[in-house]
Amino acid sequence: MNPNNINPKNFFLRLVNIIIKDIKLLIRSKSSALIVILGPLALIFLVGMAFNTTSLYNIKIAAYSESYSELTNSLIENLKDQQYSIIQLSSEQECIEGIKLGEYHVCAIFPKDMSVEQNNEMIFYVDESRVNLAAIVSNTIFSKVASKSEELSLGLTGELLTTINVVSEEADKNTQQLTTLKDEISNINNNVKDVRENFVGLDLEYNSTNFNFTKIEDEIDEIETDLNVSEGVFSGLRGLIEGTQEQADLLGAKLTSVETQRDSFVSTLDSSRNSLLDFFGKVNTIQSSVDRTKNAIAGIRVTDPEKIVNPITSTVKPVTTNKTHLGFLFPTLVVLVIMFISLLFSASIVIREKRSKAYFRNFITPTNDFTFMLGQFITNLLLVIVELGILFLVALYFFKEELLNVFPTLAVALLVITTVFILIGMFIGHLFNSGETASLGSIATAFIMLFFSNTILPLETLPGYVTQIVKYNPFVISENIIKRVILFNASFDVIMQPLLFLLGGALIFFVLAFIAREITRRKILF
Amino acid sequence: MGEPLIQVKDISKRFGKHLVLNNLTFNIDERDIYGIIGLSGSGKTTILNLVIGFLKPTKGTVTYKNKNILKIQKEIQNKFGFVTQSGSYYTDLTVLENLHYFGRMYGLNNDDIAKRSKDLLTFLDLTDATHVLSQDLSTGMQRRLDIACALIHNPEVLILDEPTEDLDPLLRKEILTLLKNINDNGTTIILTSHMLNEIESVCTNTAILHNGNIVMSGSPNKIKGLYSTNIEIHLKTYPGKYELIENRLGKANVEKTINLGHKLVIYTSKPEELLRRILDILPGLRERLVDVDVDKPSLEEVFESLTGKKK
Repeated sequence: MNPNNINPKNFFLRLVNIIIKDIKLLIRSKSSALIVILGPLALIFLVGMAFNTTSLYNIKIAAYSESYSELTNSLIENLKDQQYSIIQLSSEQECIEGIKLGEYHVCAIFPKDMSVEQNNEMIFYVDESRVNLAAIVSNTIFSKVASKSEELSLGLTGELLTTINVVSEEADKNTQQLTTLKDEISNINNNVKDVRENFVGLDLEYNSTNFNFTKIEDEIDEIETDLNVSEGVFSGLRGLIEGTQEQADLLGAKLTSVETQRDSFVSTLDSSRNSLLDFFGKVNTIQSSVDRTKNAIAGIRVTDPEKIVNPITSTVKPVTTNKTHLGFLFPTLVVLVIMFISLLFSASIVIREKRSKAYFRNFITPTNDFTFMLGQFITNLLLVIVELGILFLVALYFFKEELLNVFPTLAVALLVITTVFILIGMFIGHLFNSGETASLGSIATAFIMLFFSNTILPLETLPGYVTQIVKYNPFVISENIIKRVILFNASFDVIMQPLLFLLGGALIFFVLAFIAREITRRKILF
Repeated sequence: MGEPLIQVKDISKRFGKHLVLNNLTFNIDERDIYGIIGLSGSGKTTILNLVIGFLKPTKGTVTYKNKNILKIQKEIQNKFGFVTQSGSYYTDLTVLENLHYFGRMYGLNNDDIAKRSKDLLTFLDLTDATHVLSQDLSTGMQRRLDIACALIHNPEVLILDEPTEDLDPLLRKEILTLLKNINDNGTTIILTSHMLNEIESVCTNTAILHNGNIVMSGSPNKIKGLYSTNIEIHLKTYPGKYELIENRLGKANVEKTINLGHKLVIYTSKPEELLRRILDILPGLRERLVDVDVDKPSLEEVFESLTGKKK
């Protein structure tokens, strides 16, 4: 027998004995054994049942309007479509009070006689103290109302576009007619011009001197002289000439009158031409206006009502294949289970050991403190592995492929994460002296880590300096790692840095737990 | 006489502002049964923890075979066994499992553990309880199991902190007999107790601890001889109106009287003279002498005279 012979085999045998002893003690405590086996099973079962959905259930919307129009009823029907139950109330005050009392999740106030013709402002009251629910409910209801609003907009825009199309077609037609009109005006103008020129070209000049009836008289006188005939011989001729002269004078007078009338007519034609030109100009202006209208209509680039109502559409494309709340929640759930189990188990195992009658004897054996701590750590690790094993067996039912694909990376990540939380739990266990205070300390620590994580509120909503601190929260880091691995199939390279950070944290907590064990050993005696 | 096995030299221990032990010096020889007597809270357990090196002294040294125990902790752990006041074993493990576990923690191999366990179970009369959970054992068996756990590595020194505390007289006697047997096998024993009669009956050497100081040390008989000049007269009469006897005796030659109800104990430096007076006054008081015994005072009386406190 050589007890001083501390070799690796001896160390290993001692370690195994400590672990076996711890497990025996745990199993012989029936409540602990029950918690180890049934705890995670119950947890995953309940969470699986509760979160394996994609929708919201039992959302109660209280609605009030002074006067319900067709549009209001249509909106209400739209909200009723899926999972919402709508309760129509008789006053706005009752609606708001209902929210305060928690009877309804949203109070929707519809404007009186809501219609598309008037300005419609809907008011929603939500209970902001139920932060997550308020946000989800607001978003979903707003999207429902926005959907109805969009439907109405589409209709109205469609009508508008149809009218514009009619205007455009009419303008097309009118443009042709205006062109024809202009051509006709131009023709008329030319005709008038021709007529005028013809008129102007008419020679209506009458010169009485061209008709020398005096000479004819003189010639007749000479003839009479020559013939020496009496004046009476040619009196008939003379009378004829005299009549002709009168007719010539009359013609001359008529011509003069025609010329005057022609001038007047030419003047009228000139005036008409000016009017035609003016008319032409006006038609031209109208045509330009119609052309501009046409161009303006033609210049409308988007003629699809849906594109006018929603010129920019946004689509949120998931980068994961998960579709249920459980899928998104699973990484958080895993870390949550690890955190609570590790903290509570390790703290309670340390406390149980500390409160055990045998604790003192362990201190006075030649087995060093490191071996005892390592033994306790491995026991805790085995317990958590058993718990996680049960959890993942159940989880395989939901996410078989996702989990099997990333198993090696996930296993390493889980090992590191579990190590950190176990060592924190061991540190807490060594700090406190009773099971109650240690459990309280563990739960408080777990809740602090939980509250300052993305699980309750997005970290981005916290003040900057708090965010800076919180990013070192082991729960936040662990959740991040597991999310990356399970949801995004992250490789070792991607999670290496946070894993190393956690390992650093594990080392620190091991040292702290060791120091706490040494500091508190004196209390064993008192 | 050779070198003492354990030497406690000028040792003081302070917890914060509270000085628990003040400059203690005493030696423990090999194969001794060394008893430390003191009131509750007098620092008895602290001394034991200093002796095994579980606590470090504020001042002074404890040596084992002339080696500072703080520098040979592994050796001390292997050669010392410790029995605590409340027991130090796992209540949810069986007797054998406890022995096996602590045997392993002491670095024993399987064969050694098996042999030593068998021997101890026989020696401590625990064979029938080998596979019984410790929490289901009787009080006496639990105390014996604790001793077995302390002896699993066959230590040279066995330290016991109040080993008979909370035990009934029969179990107390049983444990004390067991300690003598262990000592007979060559194990040095250090024990603390406030039961002065048991220290007196079992210890070869004793230290009386009071207010952080050793007020006296040596063999019980030596202490009694040095610190008591009085003799005890144990008087039993019928009908036993001891108040009347005390009053009639007065203060002359009477150091102190203790009325125990069934008898009167009178301390005196002149027993013969006082016995005569007692025999004289009894007929007048209508008391009949039933029994009278004259003895040296107990360690309890010595303790009381040294510390001024009654145990």
